[in-house]
Amino acid sequence: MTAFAAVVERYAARESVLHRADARAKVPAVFLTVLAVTSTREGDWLALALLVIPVVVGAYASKLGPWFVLRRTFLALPFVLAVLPLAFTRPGETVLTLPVVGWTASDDGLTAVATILARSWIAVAITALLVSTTTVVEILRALRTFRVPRLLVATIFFAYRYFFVIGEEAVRMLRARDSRSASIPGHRAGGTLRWRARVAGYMVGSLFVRSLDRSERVYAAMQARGYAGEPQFLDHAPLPVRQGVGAALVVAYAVAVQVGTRLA
Amino acid sequence: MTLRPSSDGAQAAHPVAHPAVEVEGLHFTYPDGTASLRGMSLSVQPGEKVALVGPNGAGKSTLLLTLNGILRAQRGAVRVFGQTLDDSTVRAIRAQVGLLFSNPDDQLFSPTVFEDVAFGPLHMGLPRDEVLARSREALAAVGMLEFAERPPHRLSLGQKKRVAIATVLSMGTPILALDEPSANLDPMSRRELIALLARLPLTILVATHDLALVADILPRSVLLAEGSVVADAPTMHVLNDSALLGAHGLEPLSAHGHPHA
Amino acid sequence: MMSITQAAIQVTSDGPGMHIPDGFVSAPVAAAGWVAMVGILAVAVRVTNRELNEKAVPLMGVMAAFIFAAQMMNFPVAGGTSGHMLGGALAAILLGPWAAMIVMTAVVGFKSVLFQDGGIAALGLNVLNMGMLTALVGYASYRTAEPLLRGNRTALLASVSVAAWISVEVAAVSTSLQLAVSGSSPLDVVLPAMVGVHALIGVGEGLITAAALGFIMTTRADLLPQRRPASSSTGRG
Repeated sequence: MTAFAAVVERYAARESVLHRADARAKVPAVFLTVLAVTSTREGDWLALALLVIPVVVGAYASKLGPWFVLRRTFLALPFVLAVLPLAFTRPGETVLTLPVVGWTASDDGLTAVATILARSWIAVAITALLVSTTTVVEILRALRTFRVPRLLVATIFFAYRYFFVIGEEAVRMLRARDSRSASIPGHRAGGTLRWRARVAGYMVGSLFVRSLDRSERVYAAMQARGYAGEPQFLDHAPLPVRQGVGAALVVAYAVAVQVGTRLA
Repeated sequence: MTLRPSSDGAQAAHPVAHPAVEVEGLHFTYPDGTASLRGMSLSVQPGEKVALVGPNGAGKSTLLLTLNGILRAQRGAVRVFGQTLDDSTVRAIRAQVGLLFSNPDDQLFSPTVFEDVAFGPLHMGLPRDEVLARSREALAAVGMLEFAERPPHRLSLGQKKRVAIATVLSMGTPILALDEPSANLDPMSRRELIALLARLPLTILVATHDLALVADILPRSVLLAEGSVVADAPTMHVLNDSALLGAHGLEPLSAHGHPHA
Repeated sequence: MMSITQAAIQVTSDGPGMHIPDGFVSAPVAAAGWVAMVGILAVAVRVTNRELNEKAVPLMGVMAAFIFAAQMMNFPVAGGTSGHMLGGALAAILLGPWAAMIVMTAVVGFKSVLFQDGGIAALGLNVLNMGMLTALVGYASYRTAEPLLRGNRTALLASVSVAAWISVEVAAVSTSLQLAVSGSSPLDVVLPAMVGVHALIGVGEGLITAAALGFIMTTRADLLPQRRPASSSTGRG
């Protein structure tokens, strides 16, 4: 096993119900649940609280524990910055005034920001449960059952396989560059920004040449084993009914929360 | 070890004893103008284990790639069990000649070991049960059955090479053409690989610089230089001819300890 | 020193700041993104199948891995930050727009599933912005400029830089619009911010894309689509 793969892969091997669950059940369940979470109305704190429950249950059921899940759910900073202005631009009753700049935050604005951050956090946590309990290969195999075109599925399989091969190649090139990026005290090192970008560009170019040559060799290896342009896959056993029902229940819960809180 | 050549192979279809592989006056020039094969001729009988030795650029790899039509020679003919390779026979011949590429990262292109081993039989159009049975059998033959669900990037090089061999074994080809099978392996993995090749009851051609491997398991050696055959003799004769080896950039084995006869 | 961990963080972290996480766009906008992505992909798959036939799978699969790895090729900018490329424009110039869209879909999809870089409900939008728009716009800008330059190499590479820069800006505009339509961010705030930040990021994109293409033109011009024969030879054994 390569060090690169160890850093990159997010799967956490454990023995649990969620790990054993079929990816063909987990992937659509997570997708639809996330969509349901995304449609939470602004300020619907009850719905948000009810939607945290599956995350907590999942954290324990997966034997990963709440801390593990929490660590995997940092929010992307640029987007947090993108929604913060809402607090100040939404009209409403002023509840906060920033010192110095004098911007005023409205109650509606703060509610909007809090809702967006909360529903995003829940969605990210649910996805984290999926990727920590399901190997990439299982997720990819699940794609086949959702009528994704063969060409696309096969391409994604190859992308996964060769990401590690070419990623390792890229790491070796970066190391070779950095081991020669020395500096002598008293001299300005590193060249101009343009020059540094160009070096990176040359590495990208050389990586392309190597990758294209590799794709030719891979194609030859496929031909040698009877490939004639139509990717074939081993079909898998049908999804056990219990798994399908389990997935449907999770989605039904999320939908019920949305519908229920809107009716109430 | 129960792997055998597929029963529907050309061997059965041609009761008259044809050579397993027959190459006649083969010429191949790459698009960039490099001539790689210049009138190469060679004949290999069923069950023979033959070494292809010679310096880099002698044409060893090119020859292997022409054997099942990955490369098409501009002149000359390739015959497999008497069947001449052309557009109409190339698919059938690929079911006769299994190719092991030198870099297992080129050969293993599937997300898991098992799917890779199943690729050949699946694309030959075999029924599902037979695909599964053959793949398990091939993985067991190389001792990698327990790694069936691993992605290839989580294997060592020695393990990748063994899986790569299994990807060809599962096709049930009676002929195996291997390009540098022992290159870059640590001594232990190399030992295991040699033992595995020695066990396989197939017609085997091995392009290699590993003369100790040649001395160990390949009774016949063909020395190639500049795209044609320079010597074709029992391995012991070729390996003991230091003048011949020296003239073609190879080191006599005796420098590291004489091979057992 | 660049460690493996840093290299991996590089690919796993949201460099150009455009992978929308779930929750930041409304459900209807996210769903519309999926519908658009699936529609465009269907066309791309059909065209690619016809144009590349047997070679399509190994070529596009390995190329997706290449774009992934190319995103790791960072360069120090200032104060510990580093720039790297998105690669949509480069992929389109090297492979043509349709194959590039499939390649970029695989890349963006992987980042979402493998590293949670971008949400899964928002995946349609992310693929649209970073995979499809960058490829289309990058390719169109490049193809518009190319015939005007009469083979002048410097001018060609300059136009490639600009094409790559435009592709990033268009993706930034599109991302801003999606956030604004979702009611997650006021347009008059998010648009100038995204466009401003990506004006700088786009410079890196442009420089790397042009340098990469320049390298390929110098060393292996035969690999460029304009000069590549319909069925090129197998790699040397």
